[in-house]
Amino acid sequence: MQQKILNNLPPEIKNTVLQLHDTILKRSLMQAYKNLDNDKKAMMAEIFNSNDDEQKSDFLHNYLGDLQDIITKETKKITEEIKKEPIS
Amino acid sequence: MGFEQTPNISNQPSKEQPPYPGWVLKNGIWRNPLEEESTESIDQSKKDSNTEEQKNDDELRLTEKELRKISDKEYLNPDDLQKKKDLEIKYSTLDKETKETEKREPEKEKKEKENEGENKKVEKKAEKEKEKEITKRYYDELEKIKQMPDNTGKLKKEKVEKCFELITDWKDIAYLDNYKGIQNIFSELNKSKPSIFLYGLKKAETIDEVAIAMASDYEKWDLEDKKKLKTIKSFVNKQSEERNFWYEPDDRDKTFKDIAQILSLKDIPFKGSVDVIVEDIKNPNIKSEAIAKIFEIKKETIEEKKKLLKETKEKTTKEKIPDGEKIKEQFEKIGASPEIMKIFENPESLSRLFTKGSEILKNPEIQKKIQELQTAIEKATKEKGIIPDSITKAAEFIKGGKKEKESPWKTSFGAIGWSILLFLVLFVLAELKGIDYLSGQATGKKKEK
Repeated sequence: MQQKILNNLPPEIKNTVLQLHDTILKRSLMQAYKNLDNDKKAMMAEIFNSNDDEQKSDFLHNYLGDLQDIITKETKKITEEIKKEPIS
Repeated sequence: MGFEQTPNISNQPSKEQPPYPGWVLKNGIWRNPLEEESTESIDQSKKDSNTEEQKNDDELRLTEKELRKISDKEYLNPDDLQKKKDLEIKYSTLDKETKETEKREPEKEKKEKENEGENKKVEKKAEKEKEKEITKRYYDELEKIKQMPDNTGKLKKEKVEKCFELITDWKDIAYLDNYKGIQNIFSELNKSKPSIFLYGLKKAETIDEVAIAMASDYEKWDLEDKKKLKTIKSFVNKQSEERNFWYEPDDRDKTFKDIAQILSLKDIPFKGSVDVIVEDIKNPNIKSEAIAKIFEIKKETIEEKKKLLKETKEKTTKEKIPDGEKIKEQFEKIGASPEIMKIFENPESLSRLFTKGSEILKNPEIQKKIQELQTAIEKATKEKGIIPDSITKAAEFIKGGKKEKESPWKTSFGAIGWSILLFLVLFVLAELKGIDYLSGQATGKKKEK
């Protein structure tokens, strides 16, 4: 169904939405990453370089549990930033 | 059988003394207490025995034992002799009866089998009764839903939600009434036409789920193949008649493709059965994909077919839409503008947004705004600093891997990813004034730019 929303958008809007989506996700992850100590950062690098999907899910659940809240805040922040940019 | 024994008079022990140490005198006869116990235990087993032949057999063994006991005696008194004679007669009678029982055994087995068949029939009948009762309970529930008032938006929403809940609960055993009840609920849904956010999406998802259940439980229906196929086709076609952005003709064709695939995986023949479903696929591309898949399936092993069947069935339950209220809550947290909330609360404008969206965006003025917005987004989203490799990889993982690059946050953040995607679409359109245009159309006042 998500695909259906995207597929019903003209290509330029679809790309814009996906770009925004990606940026929000990466920024949120970055925000959560900053809160980790060095050991956990090293653990994250090791796990996400492996092929173990279960470990990846566990890591997100155990150490980035507040990611959903961060995502919500980042979405709010990024849309406000866009609004500040001058659009004629 | 004879237990001839002549009393050895010269060795005859005194009547006051036991023939062996530990023996006791009972009713004028010396008896071994251990053997008495054994006799008693046989008696007990005889009591416990349920069948006549078991009783005979026990009695025979007991008689044999008693006879042996008398025969083993070093001397026999007149009572013993009389008892021996009686026991021999009894033994011979019992032996004859046992042999006759053995002769009757095949007959008995036959009778037992008949009883077993009878028991199975009873069990089956009980199961049928239970199924009838469950189905009746669902019908009662449906009747209650039908009685629910729906004269206000709120009541309509409650009624529709109950309908969806009942379909979800019922669909896995709806083959018991050949899906008549489920189709009845759909009629009730179609009558309601509620103004609920994403109603169309929920309905599309439910049509798909019921159609997949119909195919998955194909062998359980109590109808001949021809009628089953007719019911499946008529259900899907009827439910796709209503205009629904989320269930367009291609979506219906994809449902038929999934049904055909499931039936093929269940080894239902193509000619005369699966082809009846395939012939209703209108889009030639989907049709040829379906046929190619069916021929691929024919070559698969049984194990592979089982695996594919599981995957196809799970496909429809993978991407569950979040509840409208939760999306609304999420929108409020993100700080959605009143324009966005307005369009979100009006399902008609929302579906128009998607159906007319492309048209609006062809407007040269809007095209210009798209360019400007893209520049603004690039400036605002410009990455500051270096992003660690683990962040990029974690983002890829959350999005669902390289294969599903355009499926936002499917794996771990389905509901929130869904809400944010929808919000971003609405946000972008609001910035382009596309929402103003649509809102104006919804109230009949097209806004001039």
